[in-house]
Amino acid sequence: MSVFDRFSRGDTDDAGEVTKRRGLVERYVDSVTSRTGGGSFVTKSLRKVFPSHFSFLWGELALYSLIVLFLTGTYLTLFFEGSQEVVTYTGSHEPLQGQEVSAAFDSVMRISFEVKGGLLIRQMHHWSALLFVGAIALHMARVFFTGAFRRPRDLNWIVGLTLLLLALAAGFTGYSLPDDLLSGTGLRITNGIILAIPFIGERLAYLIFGGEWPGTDIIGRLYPVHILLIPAAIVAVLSIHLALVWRQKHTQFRGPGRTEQNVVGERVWPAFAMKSIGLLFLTAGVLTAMGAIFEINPVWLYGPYDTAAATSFAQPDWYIGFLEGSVRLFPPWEFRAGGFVINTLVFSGILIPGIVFGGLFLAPTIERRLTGDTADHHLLDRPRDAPNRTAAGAASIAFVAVLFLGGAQDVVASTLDFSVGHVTTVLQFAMILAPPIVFVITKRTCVELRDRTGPERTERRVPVERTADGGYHIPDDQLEDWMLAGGAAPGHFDEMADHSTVRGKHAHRDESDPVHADEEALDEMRDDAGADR
Amino acid sequence: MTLVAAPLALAAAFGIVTFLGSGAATGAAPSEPVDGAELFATQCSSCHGLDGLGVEGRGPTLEPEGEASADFVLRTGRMPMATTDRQAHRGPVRYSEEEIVALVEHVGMIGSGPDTPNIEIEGADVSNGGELYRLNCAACHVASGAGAPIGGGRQAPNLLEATPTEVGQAIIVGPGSMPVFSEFEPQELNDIAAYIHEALTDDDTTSASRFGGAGPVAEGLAAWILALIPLVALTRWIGRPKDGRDHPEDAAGPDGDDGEPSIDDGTEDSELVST
Repeated sequence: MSVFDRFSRGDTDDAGEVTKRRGLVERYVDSVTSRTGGGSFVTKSLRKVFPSHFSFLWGELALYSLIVLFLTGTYLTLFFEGSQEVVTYTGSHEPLQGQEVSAAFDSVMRISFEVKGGLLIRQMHHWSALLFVGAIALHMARVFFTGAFRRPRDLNWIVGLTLLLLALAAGFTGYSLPDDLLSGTGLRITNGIILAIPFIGERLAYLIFGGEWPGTDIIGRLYPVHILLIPAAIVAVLSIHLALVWRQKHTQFRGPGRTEQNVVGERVWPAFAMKSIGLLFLTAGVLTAMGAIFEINPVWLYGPYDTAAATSFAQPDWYIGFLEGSVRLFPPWEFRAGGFVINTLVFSGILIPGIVFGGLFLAPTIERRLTGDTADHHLLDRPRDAPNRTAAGAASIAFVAVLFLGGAQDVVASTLDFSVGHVTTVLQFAMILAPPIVFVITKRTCVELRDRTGPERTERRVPVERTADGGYHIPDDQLEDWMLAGGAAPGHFDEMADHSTVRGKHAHRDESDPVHADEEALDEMRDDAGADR
Repeated sequence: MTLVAAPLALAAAFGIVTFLGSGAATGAAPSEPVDGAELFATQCSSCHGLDGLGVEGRGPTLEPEGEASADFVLRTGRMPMATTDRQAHRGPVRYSEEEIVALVEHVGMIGSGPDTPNIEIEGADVSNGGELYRLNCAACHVASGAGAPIGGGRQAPNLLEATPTEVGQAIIVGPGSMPVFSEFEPQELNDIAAYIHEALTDDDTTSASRFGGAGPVAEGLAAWILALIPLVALTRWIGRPKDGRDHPEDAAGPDGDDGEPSIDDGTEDSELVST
């Protein structure tokens, strides 16, 4: 009994035995499952269906960036030293010769200039981190704007957001480890935000940093968090994330043959698996090229952290940019409440990110409350079909985008040759005005698009015969039309039990008729249909 | 910055040059000794006054300035200014060597400021210069030397275009908004100038391309434009649905063993499907 029996293309002899020789992977899987059992589970998994739309691959983009992160990160741990012990730099980079630096900074310099392949791996690691969060953001945007976060996947939305938070934490701790002038500045801001927490701030900052800023402990403490705790948490939460996807199955866009009760797409084996592995290699390839060609985080230029030193253009990595912007744009409010000082960082460093993430976590609940729609949804909305949701999402993005620009307000001013003060003022107003404006424009656009009559669509009618035993059958000469209509594989008509014809929309198609180019698939369908008789 | 600023600066410079057109600047014959006072009167006095003590509302007194200051602004093209309501930017030099020497000498007699320091980067302690740079300069000029806005519409200029001598002059003169750093030893000036020249301007530490020294902002932009967007385009290529390859699968619902694949292939669960 092979795992792949149900993938057979009819290469059987008269006795029903499969005659086709299986491929290497297939034989290997069979040899394992024949000893361990679990074959039916593997079969089921390999026959799982993934929707073909390309936006469903963005989560995988994040997954594959994460794999590159783990591999490159492992190499870096072989050489990195998580310690703030003061050493004298004696490496090969002349302009830092003889400088007193921390052991952490020294080891990053050694990775960059002495370790074989160190700079490439370090730069790949950093580019991967930027890509990782970018892919997560796109993936989230797809899930949000198509309504995939609704019940029953609201659960996985929350799991995914937890992953995002972990990704941000991983990024921030990693950014901080080299102990260079930039990362030290970032840690100093973090220290300030923690200090600003009412009631417990000071004690908490002491606890985390091991005393007054800068102390000598923080790098050594962030290191195990960065390479052990957060990765372990990411693996755990990611497992839940993927298990839920497996269990709940994918959502899909509306289309012919797609219902709330089925998933239409490509099976894992062999088509989707190959595509996905291909994407892994492409992702790794792009990241390797980035690491080889483009400089990132040149710590030798920033030099070791020194509390007395400072540099402009001191920004965090892009995904912390909204927090930096919040701190830069918020007015310097400060007041006292019951013996405690509530300063501007309470609003900008704690409240605003709290609102951003609180809103994200509550998005499914808020939508349920506002629409009263508590049903399960497996079919996706086009963004235009849910104008309010789309507008709310766009407005939220506008808000975060303004914060994001605020975090780089000096670079923006420098690039556009404006005054920093003017840029800041404009962005402060934009922070308040942009979201409602974007909301109104987006909603209006959605409604216009939704109500516009679509392009002429041709319809095909495919007769489906009912067989004596109660099954359904498509005549061979109609199979092509059936497929063009986007129909399901023959034999699966339970959704259409009461229709004698299936009306499929024949939307825009390429010039070349893909069906003719795909005779093999057609043959397969005929065979399947034949089996049904 | 350069992308946007360069055309503006060019336009401004062009305006000035045509405006001054056939002035004494280009008229002086090379053999004739240049008279600094005369040149000052034709070129500088409209803003700084004939006596160099400034003109109300047009230009400041040169009394606190000196040879270093005059040499700096003339050799970097900051004087004459295109307009007085903006910070003086680096631009094309408008005078010949003789004219600059004469003007510098003249301004040196008016003001009490310092003379041009003798900057020698050969044999300087680059590492020490780097430390001083990070402590004193990077806050405005950026660790990479790229320069940054410092508020009030002013810019700390890009240092990668500055010669070691100009760096030394700027440190002791404090042009524009820059403070005067008078506490440095001459050797320390050499060290800083050497660091800027060798570690920042002539930086060949890695052969990787960099993004203008603007730090994580440029890197984030690069990650999106050069990595994420191309990869999304690749998913578009990979994820293109292929007609005829699509299979349906019964929907999940987390409630039971309903996840059986649903292609009816004649095996036992075909009945399960059709009921």
